[in-house]
Amino acid sequence: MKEQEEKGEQVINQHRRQLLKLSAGTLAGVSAAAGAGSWIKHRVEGVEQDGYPVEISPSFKRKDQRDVLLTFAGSKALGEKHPERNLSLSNDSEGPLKSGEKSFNFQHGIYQFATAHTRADNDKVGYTQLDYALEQACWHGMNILAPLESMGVPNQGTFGWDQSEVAKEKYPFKDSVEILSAIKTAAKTFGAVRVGICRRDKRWDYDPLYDLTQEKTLTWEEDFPFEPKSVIVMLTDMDYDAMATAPMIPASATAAMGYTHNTIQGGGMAKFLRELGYMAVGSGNDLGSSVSYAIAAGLGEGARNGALIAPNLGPRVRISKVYTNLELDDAAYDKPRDFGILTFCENCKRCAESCPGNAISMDDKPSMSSTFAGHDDPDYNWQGQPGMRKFHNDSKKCFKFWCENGGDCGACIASCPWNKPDFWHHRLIDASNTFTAGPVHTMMKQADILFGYGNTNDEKAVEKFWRSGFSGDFT
Amino acid sequence: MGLMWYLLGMLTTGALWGYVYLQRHYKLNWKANLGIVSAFAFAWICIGWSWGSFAEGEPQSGAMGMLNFGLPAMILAVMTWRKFIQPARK
Repeated sequence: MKEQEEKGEQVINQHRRQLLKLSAGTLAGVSAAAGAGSWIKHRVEGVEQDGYPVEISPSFKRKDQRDVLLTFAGSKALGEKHPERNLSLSNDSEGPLKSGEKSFNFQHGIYQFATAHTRADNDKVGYTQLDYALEQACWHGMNILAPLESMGVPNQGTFGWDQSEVAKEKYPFKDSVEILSAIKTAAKTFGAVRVGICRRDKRWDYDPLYDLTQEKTLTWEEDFPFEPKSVIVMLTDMDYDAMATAPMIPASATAAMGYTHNTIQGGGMAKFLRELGYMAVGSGNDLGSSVSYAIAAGLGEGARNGALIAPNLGPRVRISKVYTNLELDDAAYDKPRDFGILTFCENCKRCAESCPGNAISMDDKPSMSSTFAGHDDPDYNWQGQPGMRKFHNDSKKCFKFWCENGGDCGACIASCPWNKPDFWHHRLIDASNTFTAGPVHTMMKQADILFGYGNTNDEKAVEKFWRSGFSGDFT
Repeated sequence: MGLMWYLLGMLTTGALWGYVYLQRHYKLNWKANLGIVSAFAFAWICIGWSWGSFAEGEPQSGAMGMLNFGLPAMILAVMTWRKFIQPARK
């Protein structure tokens, strides 16, 4: 009897120990998973930075808009003023002009680019009348709402500088949080996919500005209607299937639609603020560097290809911004964030390998100035902006390919491993890329290729794109 | 995609049920538990990844998902069953 009791007690004790072990194990597992989860979430949402996350040299100079490539290419007067620029880039090979080679003329190039739709070829996949018709239709909105904003022309249409309609009385917001919430909700209503607000930073603004339609230099002090205090930055996304056709014309079409969305969103936000009693001017490629402001507003990081990479969207975004005299409390402004993107770029180089113009840097690390062939010749590297630690690309080669291609490429966007549609498994990989490093990033890039992503010049992608809307349900 | 999450939910519930059955009829050591959890995780990712890839129109990614996650799941399941579960019947 006693033996039986002792045996029973032993069994109960054994069960208790098992239960205790199981509970302790479960608790440890749940704690570890929760800890890891919150740390990964912290990394994925971006680690807030105290200052601007890119090293800027004390000798950094603001960009003269006359040295911005598209402004120069679109300006007859600047072409005549700087004939050496049209004698520096080889039309026959890549990079600086060598003896016996024909030079590339930027003004002729932009004409070729702008009239490419008239040379549509129905036997060439991705360059047919159908593709160009879509591209022209996508530009149509911008051409009406803010003509030539993509070329950096300021004071156009919805991006106009006129402040005569600013409401006499300011709306009585309670505090900065209420203002912030109203602005961000308005951005959502305009169709933006992300919005951030930062202080105006003169370093990112062109100085002087240039209007190529009037061949006129403009200054912030004398011509711009007010002293901006804040800049609201909005992102609009481009269609994944269309961008996958890059460098063929459907990719240009979705980029063009991005510009049209910019004119609606930037113009809408400026109008909204003016109705609330604040001065505001919308902007696209004019007034200043959109990528720099988007970084400052915590929307993403500057990538190897010179574009902004936004979490979950990659570089498949267009940026609009609104300059306003509205000022928030310091704490209300968005802060730049580290998403681990630039670290990934250092190990990836997929965009540089895919670039048909060989315009993107293959350097291992970002540098303070250009390193490409001809970088030390001011007549060749006239568009460069030293003094900022980043990957300095040769945008002239990029533009030359646009002109030959008859559309604005997008190969660096399509090939980027961060450019993925919104499916859970891509978010999983994005999350792992934010906290892994070095060889893992290289492996992820190789896996991206093996899994069939990021192809360019893919004729099947054009076929797929033109079927992608067939269901009629885009939700 | 909604159907995929529903089926994965069903699979998870079914797997838990199967695990309870195994616990009752076999003496599972840590190797067996590790094998079961790993095989299930690989199988779960295989279905989720491949379904997602086919849904987004990337069949190469779907096929690679089956190869990279589905095959290890099957190998792990068979090995764990033969080496650590079957010999440990209570």
